[in-house]
Amino acid sequence: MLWLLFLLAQTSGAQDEVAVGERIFARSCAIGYCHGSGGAAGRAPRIRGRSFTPEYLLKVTRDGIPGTAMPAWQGRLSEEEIRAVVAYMLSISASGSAAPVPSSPAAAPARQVEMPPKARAGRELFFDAVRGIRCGTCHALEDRGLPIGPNLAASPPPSIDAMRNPPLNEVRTARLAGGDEFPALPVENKDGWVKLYDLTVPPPVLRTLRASEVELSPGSRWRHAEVIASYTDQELELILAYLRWLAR
Amino acid sequence: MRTVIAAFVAAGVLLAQPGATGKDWPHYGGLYNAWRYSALDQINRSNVRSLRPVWAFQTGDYDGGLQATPIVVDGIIYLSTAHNWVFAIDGATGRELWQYRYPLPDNFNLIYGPWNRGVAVGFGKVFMGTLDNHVVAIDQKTGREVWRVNVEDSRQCGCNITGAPLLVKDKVIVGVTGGDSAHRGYLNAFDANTGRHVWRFWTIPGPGEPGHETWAGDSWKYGGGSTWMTGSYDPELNLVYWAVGNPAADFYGEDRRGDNLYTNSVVALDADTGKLKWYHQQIPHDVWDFDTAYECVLLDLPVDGKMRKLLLNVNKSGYTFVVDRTNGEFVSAWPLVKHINWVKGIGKKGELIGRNEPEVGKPKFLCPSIGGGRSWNQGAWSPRTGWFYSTGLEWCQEVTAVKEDPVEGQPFFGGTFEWRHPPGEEAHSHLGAYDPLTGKRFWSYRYKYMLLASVLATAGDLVFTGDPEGHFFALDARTGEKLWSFQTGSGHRGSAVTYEIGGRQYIATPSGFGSALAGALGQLWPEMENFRKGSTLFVFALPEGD
Repeated sequence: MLWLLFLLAQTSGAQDEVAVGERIFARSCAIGYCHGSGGAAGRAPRIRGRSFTPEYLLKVTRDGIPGTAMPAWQGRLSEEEIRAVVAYMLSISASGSAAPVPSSPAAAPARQVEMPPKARAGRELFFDAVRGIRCGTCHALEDRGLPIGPNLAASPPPSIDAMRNPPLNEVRTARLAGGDEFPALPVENKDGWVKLYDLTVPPPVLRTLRASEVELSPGSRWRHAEVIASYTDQELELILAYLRWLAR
Repeated sequence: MRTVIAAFVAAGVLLAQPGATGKDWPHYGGLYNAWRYSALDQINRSNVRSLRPVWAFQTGDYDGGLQATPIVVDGIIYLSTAHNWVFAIDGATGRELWQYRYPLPDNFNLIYGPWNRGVAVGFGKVFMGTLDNHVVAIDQKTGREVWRVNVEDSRQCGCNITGAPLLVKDKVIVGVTGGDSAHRGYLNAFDANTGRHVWRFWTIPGPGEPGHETWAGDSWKYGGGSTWMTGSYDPELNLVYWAVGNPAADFYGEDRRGDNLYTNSVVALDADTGKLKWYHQQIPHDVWDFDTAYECVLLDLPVDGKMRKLLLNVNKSGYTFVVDRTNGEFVSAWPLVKHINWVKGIGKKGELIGRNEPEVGKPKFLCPSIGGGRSWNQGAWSPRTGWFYSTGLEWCQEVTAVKEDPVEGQPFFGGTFEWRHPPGEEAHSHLGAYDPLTGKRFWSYRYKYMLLASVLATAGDLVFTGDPEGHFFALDARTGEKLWSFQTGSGHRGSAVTYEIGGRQYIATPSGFGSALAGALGQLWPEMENFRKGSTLFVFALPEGD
């Protein structure tokens, strides 16, 4: 009797896993552009009624498919959730079985230390979408934003004043043959062509110019304080807390 | 150009409108008025049966289909593909002049793509929006990149650019996707020469701006309102017209109570400043994902005996709306398809009558499907017949709304849907000829699957389009009779154009099936799952000497 109870418990556990997976699938995978309701096909391939190995589904769900719209779910879903959604996909596949999902070969992601509230508020301000132009427009952190300006987590500015008026050794004044003059951040000078960021108005524009048509000279009228003028002192304090926390 | 048209037919009020393309196809919709109509008539009803392929151009970028409108300037075709490759092609011979491949990051991982609907050309440059939300300018002669600017980090906003830019004066105006994500939409203008940002119009007003009160709580921050297709421009009024998409979450509206301006609206903006002049909202508080996103066709027509400047816009909901383009005043609305049950009707002032909304946790049968009473592929208007030609899709769906909280940049649908055949018949589509004001239908060509390519109308009294099975075909613009057809080898999801080089008229059509909608048609027709991909530009002309 005991073994029967054990078996029953296992079966219902698998069914629970499929039910959990179904809910995750509906929320994350069944949406209009992707696999369709119940895996019935969308822009992304049909899942229902096709043959997959559990290993394949686990790999693609975890890692995504680079260069396509299929994202990596590792980090966005927990390992338990990924296994549940794979169990659900197997249940609607050609075999229809809830074949056991192999145990995880992937290392569990490192436990994240929770960000303190001030740093978290600073992070939101750094990437604040309500402002058309925000820190993330020119600085990348945590896989967000654009790496045009310096990596601020590597060496956070020492003060709010330094945030407003950082050293600008790399910013130049570009003068074009046509007379246009603008603050520029040089990127590359190769084979007679110059690549530089035009900093006249944010967002910066990456321009490719004939080296013979552009003259670069030290210094510029560009001021970081003007670009970040939408942030108050208190907001900059919070952003600083975020940068310091990242650099800890 | 006016004289060209007048030479062919007796002058009439409609024909006096300078809206037809000639030798070139300079803008996404043909000219700024988005008629997709050409004054060329060398190929016409009497000889179209002799039309034959003169060359084909395989791009090699087949995943996602070939959805673009080729732009033709001085005999050179500028064609963009799903992964932001651009080609300059000799329009007479098919010879590649240059190619440019935008360096896409590996991890763009966006639900809106891979696909691209075209470029804009001017100021010696070719302009394109990218899958990772950049705008890029390419030297028109050499294919070398001139400038590139990021609109917003696509990893954060969950948005990007798949529509063709509109070049107005010295500004490149570019929309954005993201209407089904937790994102606040906008329209941007960049200086054509330098790439510098000139103006931004937020499609959802911020705190303190009129219209902000039409969004409950913080819902405005993630309310969608994308601008994913291409607008129009009236040089006389100096107004840019753009159609704004659905609010997010698509199917669940409880957390965004209010009219949700300016989603599901046509907005008219000052071309120089981006300031709003007027708006007309078609569907207040949309909960069906019925974007007002498609082309804005600019027409001057008599209404009750008085000539008026009008704007016609096909909504995804199956209704076509006509407004006065000087002030946004509602003129008429008419159904493009038969199967509509999301409202009982539309009143004399444009108001919705009898809303039939999705419910939380309970499937509801609604028509048309979110694929639309028509997809984004454009219709065409011919001043010779005075008719608007458009495809229409007859299909339904079961929608279940789900309460969902926004996560910035992540999909934000608030529900799920499964496509269904309509009551009493198989899902199908049609291409019809309509009175633009009343919707009176003069003829209809029926097709067993979904017609998902744009329509091209010409002064040869022909309308061209293609189907998912690969046929590219011509109908008689006056009767709908099929006069010619050619199998291109892959389905049609792009937009055909016509141009002239050295006295010879050419018809060019993208061939290559793909897109979010195309991929999901297997839900209704299992065999469509295996419809072949492709990415080829086919070009046709009459045999020389004819």
